Amino acid sequence: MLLLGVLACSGEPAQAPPPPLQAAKIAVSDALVAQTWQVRLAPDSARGSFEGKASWTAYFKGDRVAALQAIATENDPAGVARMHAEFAAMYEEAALMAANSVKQDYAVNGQPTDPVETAYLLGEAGVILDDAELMKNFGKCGASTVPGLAKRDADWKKWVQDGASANWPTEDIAAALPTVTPGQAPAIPSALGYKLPEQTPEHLPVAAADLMTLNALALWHFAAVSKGEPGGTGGESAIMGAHAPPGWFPKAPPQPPGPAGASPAAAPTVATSDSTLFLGAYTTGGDLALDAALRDPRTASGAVAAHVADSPYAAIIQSCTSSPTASTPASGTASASSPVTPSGIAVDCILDQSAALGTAIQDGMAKAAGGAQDFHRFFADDARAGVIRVAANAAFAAGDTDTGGRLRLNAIDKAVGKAYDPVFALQVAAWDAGNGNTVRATEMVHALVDQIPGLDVARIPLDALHVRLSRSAAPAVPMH
Amino acid sequence: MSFFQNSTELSSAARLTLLGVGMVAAIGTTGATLNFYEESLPSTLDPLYAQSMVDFRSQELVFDRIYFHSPIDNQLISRIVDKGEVADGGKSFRLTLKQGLKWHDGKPLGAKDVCFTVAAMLDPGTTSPIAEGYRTVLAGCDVESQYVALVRFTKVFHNPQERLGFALMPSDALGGKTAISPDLDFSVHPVGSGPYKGSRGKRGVQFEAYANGHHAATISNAGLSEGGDPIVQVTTLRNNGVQGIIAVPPPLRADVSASDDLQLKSYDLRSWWFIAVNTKKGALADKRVRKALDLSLDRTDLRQLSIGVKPGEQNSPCEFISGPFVQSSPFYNRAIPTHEKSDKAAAAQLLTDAGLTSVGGHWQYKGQTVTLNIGMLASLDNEAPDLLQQISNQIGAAGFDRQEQRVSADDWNRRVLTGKATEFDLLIGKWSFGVVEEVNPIFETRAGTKGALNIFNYSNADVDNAIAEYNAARTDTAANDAYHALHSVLAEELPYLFLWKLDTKSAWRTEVRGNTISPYFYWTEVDSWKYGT
Repeated sequence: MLLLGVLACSGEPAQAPPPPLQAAKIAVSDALVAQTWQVRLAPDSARGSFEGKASWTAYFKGDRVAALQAIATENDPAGVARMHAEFAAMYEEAALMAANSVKQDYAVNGQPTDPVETAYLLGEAGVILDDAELMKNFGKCGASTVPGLAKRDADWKKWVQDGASANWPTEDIAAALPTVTPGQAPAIPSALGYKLPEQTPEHLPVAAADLMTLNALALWHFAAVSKGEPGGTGGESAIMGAHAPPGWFPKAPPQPPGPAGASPAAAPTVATSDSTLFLGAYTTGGDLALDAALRDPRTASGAVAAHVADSPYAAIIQSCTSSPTASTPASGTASASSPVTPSGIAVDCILDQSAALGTAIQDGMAKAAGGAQDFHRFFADDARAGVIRVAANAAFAAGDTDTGGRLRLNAIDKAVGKAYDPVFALQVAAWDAGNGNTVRATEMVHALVDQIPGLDVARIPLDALHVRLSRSAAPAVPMH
Repeated sequence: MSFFQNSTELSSAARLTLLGVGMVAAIGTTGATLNFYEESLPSTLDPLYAQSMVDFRSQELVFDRIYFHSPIDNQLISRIVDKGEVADGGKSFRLTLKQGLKWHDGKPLGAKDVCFTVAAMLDPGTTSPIAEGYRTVLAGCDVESQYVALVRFTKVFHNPQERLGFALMPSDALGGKTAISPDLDFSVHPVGSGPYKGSRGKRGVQFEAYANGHHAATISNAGLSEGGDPIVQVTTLRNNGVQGIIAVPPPLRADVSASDDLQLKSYDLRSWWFIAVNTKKGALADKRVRKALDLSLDRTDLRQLSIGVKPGEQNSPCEFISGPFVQSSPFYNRAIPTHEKSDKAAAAQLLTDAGLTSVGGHWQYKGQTVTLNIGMLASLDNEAPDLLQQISNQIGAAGFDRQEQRVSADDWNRRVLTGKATEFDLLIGKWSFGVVEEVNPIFETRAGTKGALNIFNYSNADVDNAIAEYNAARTDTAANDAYHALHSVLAEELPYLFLWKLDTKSAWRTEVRGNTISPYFYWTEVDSWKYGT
C-alpha cells in the first residue's frame, strides 16, 4: 500500500511499464555448448580429479597462492602449468599498468620538481609499452646517486642503441629472485626499490620501483610453466599470450605465419586439458586460442572467423557483428535496434548472448548431471562474464575503443562473486591507468595486493598518479 | 559434493518472492518513465548547493558541466564547447561555445552564461562551499562575443580544462544576479541545459527529456523516488514497479546478480562511514574516553549484523578503516592499524583512568550517569539496516546509557553540517568522494569559510597544521606526507571513530540498455540510456 501511495502521488503518467526483455535465441550450437568445461564436468563423476582437492578449493575461494602451492603436490602437471601461466599473465598486466602509470605520471602530467631519475622509469615504460619515444629517456641518469640506477640506465641505453633485441638487460633483477620452482610464488626483494630525490630544496624522496621487477616475475612464472609441464599443451602459452604484448616471452603464444594484417591465418588450435579450463573464464580451448589470437596484431583480424567451430565466444561475437559499413545491424540474434559500431560489434547483442549462453550452459549442466544444482549458476557465470570480456578484446583489436570500453565496463559488472578473475581485474587496471583513470584501478589493485606477491611494486606508480590527478582536478567538497 | 556445495550461499529469493506476491498490484500504477529509487530525495537541484550525492546525481540530469570525463576512456570532453584553447600563456582559457543550444526555458545559451557562472562563484554573496573551492582557481571571465568567453585563472595550470568541471548556470533565469542564495525557487524548479528538465516535488523528482542541440535523451521521462526498505525496493524492481535502484545494500546483491531480469552495475564512488564524536561535551572531551568508545566497538560484528559481511570474506564490499580515507587511496596511512574487534578490558581501564566510575554497570562522570545521545543520517538505514541500533547496543554493553535518533537528510544539511547539532554526542554518517579526496572542510577548525563541514566544531592545532601543510605542499610527495600525518593525528585524537568504506552497486532491469554509469556523477551518459526490446 505504501508503494502504491508513493507512485500514485509522484504524478507519473499511467502507462504500462516497459515490457521485460525477451530472451535472445542463442547463437551457439548445442554441440558446442556441450563441449564447454562446465557441461562436460557437470556430472559429479567427471569432476573426480578436482573434487576435494586443496588446490581447486583454494582457487574457487580466490586464494591463488594457496592454490598454486597445493597443486604442486597433487600430481597435476597441467594444473601447475595453468596456475603459473595465470600468475605470469597477472604480472604482465601489472607491468602494463605500472608502465601506463609512469607514462601518465611523468610524461603526460610531469612536473618540474619530479626527480631526474623519472627519465629512467619513462624509458622502462617505453620498453614495456613498445614506445620508442619513451625509450629515448634512457641515458639521462648517468650522474644519479641512487644505488644501482645509473648502471641500469646505461645498460638500457646501450640496449636501445644496439637495436632493441629480445634479450632485455635485466639479469641482475632476475638473479635476485629465487630459483624457479613449480608451486612457488616469490615476491620481490625490497632492495630493488628506489628512493628518488625530488628537485626541490628538501629533496623529498619519491618511492619508486624498477618496472622490470614485474617483468622478471612474469618470466619467472613463465619458466615455471615449462618446468611444471615440460612440453605443455599450448593452453598455458595462450593464457599468457592473451595478455602479454607479442614477443614478450621467449616462447611466444601460437602464432601462424604471415605478416601483420594477413588474414585469415590458419586457426591456431590449443590442446587443453580440463585443468587448463576448469573454473576459468574460457569455456573451451577455442575460446582461449581466440583471446590469444586477438591479442596478436598478426592474427587478430581473422581470429573470430577461425574459431567459430571451436569457440562459443567466437560464435557469439560473429553473430553479433555486422559490417561497419552496413546499414543494418547484425542478423540472426537480438540486436535489431543496436547501432552499427566501428567494429560492427553490437554491445546489446553481446549482452543478450551472454545471458543466453549462461542459460544454455546451465541447462546443459542440468541435463548432464541429471538435475539442476546450485553451483551450476556459479560455473555458468564464468561464461557470462568471459564472453563479454573477450568480445571487448575483439572490439579493441579492431580499433573500436568505444565499443571495447563499453563491453569491458559490462564485463566488470559480470565479473563479480565467484566469476571474479584477478587476471581480468589487472587487465582493467592497466587499461584504466593508461586512460588516467585511477579510482577504479587503485581499488582493483588494492583488492589484490595482499594476494599476489610483488603487486605492491605495481601499486607505487599508480598511487603516485592518483595523488597527482587528485591534486590537479577541479575543486570538490565531500558529500554525504 | 564438496567445496562447491559448501561455498554455495543460497539466496533469499524465496523471501523476496513471497513479498513480491503482495507487490504485483503496484505495477500497473507506474508509467513508462524510467522510475528509480534514490537513497533519499535531493535537498536541492541547485548545483552550487549540492551537499549529498543524491543532490549531485540529480543535478547531473538537469545541468551541463562545461567539461567532463568520459566514463568509457576518461577523456576530458564537452558537449557545449565547440573549441577550447589556452590563452595568456596558460593563465586563461578561451571557450567557443556551440551555437543553437538552449536553456530549458527556451532562452539561448551563450558566452554570457559562462561568465555569469564564473561571476556567481566569485561573488562572496554566493555562500556555496562548492563556489568557495573555485575561488582559489578562477579569477574572472570576459565575454568576447555571443559565443566566445575567456575564463581567467588565478595562476597558470598545465591542464586548465580540468578546472572547468562546474555546472553551467543560466544568467537570464537567475535575473543576472550573481549572489545566489540556496533558498531560491531555482533549487526546486531549476533551469538547466542538461538532458532533462527537473522539478522537485514533496514525494519525488520528475525529469522530462528536453531535446537540444547537444542532448537527445532516448527515454522521455524519469522519476526519482525515495527508497525505503531495501527488500521492498528489490521486490519492486523485480516486479517492474521501478526500473532501477541507485544503491543496493550488500546483503541483497547476490539476489540481484542471480536474476536474469536484473543487472548489478558498478558505481565508482569512494565512501567511508564514521561516528563523529562531540569532543566538547562532557566526558567526551577526554581523549581517553573517546579511545574507550573506539575500543568498545566490535566492528566485525557490526559489519556482519548490519551489512552481512562474514569474517574473513574475500573481496568484501566493506573494509575497515583507521582514518579519513579508503584503504585503496594513497592518502590512507597504511601504518595505522584498524580496530576490528572490541577490547572491553582496555576500554574499561581507559575510562577508569579518565576518572569515570562504574556504578551498577553504568559509567558515571562527575557523579552523573553518562548518557550518550546517538544520531544517524536516516538514509543510511537502507544500506546498513539496524546499524544505529547495533552501535547503540554495543555502546550500551560497554556500560553507557544512550538515546537514539534518526536524522533526516534536511536536518543533516541544515543542522549537522553547519555545526549546530550539538545536542548529539555521537553522529553516524558517511562521506563520499570522487578522485578528489580532500577532507579539510571536515576537520579544520571552523573559521570563515574553513571547516565548513566540521560537524561538532572540532578544533585541534596539530590537525590544522597537517591541513596547512597539505595546502602548502609544492609536490605530491609533500601533500601525501601531510595527509598521512593528518591520518595519524586523527587516529590518535579520535574526533571521529572511523568505521569502514562501503562500495556502491546499483541494480537496473535488463531492459534498460546502454546504461553506462559514470564514476561519481552517475548520469553523465544518460542520453544513451534506452529501453531494449
